[in-house]
Amino acid sequence: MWAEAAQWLNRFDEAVLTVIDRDGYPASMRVSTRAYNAATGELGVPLIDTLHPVESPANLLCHSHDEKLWNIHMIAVKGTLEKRDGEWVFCSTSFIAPSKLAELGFVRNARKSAQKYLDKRGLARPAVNWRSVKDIHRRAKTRNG
Amino acid sequence: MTYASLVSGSAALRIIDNYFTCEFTTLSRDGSPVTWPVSPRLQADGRLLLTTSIGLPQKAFNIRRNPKVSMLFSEPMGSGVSDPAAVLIQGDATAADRIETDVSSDPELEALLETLLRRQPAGAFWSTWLGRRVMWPYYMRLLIYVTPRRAVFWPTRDFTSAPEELDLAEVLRVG
Repeated sequence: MWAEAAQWLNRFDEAVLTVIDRDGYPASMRVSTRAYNAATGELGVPLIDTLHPVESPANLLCHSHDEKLWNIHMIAVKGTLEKRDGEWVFCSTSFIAPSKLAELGFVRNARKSAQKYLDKRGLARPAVNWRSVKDIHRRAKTRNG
Repeated sequence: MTYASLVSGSAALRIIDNYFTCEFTTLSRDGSPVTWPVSPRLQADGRLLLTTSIGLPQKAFNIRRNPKVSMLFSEPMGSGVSDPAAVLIQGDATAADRIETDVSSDPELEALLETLLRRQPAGAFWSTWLGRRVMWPYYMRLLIYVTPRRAVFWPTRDFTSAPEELDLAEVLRVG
């Protein structure tokens, strides 16, 4: 059932595991996903006591970008953190593989969410100060050489 | 002590200042963590500033319900940092309701955008004629400030070892 999640996780060197600590704050660290079990969706994780993790909802995030902060790729697996025989285990509960049309869907959803945000507040679409954006862009370009 | 001198004198602050992204987590209505890569900037008062488009408002909604967040600086790609380390910050966030559409109205926002554009030159697309039409909400931003409550540091990015606890005063007195 989790074979597709395992395939996607294997495309990245490591994942960011996020859990909840005893004070209710999220806490993240990097983990290897090589031992992710494609049949059970489980992954033993070497969580450090210093982070004070508790059994809780959790997630795995893999993302990457190039040296120009472009070619961004990202996947996430939702799950729970459980303690079994003194060891921490991430247990997958859901995974949606990114589709080939993900970028298109991303833009479409963002536009829809933005319009909803404005409508809920009775706001017209605000005007952006493009001149200041362009000025900053020029400055950034100059400093980059 | 100036921002620049303090940042250059602390390995942890150097990571926060130079890594392009961090993994930012908010808590959803049912308490589940939701994590996104974001590009924040450390402020002179020790808070961290990031923004989100009104087209991606879930971060802001989550923060308004529960301010507890975390930021893991663990991705050295492109940063030029030769001895990669990692920093985890846990803190309390605020998400303004005001929609910011004039980046020059706030020097901190201006500095954040300049940093982002220097790191991501292709991001200039969003202010082109086509970019403005395809993704019109991109420059309609909600400002999110994070006040650190705890910070830990993995000096060699070895997550199987216990991290060092950072003195928050070091992070909170940058200016």
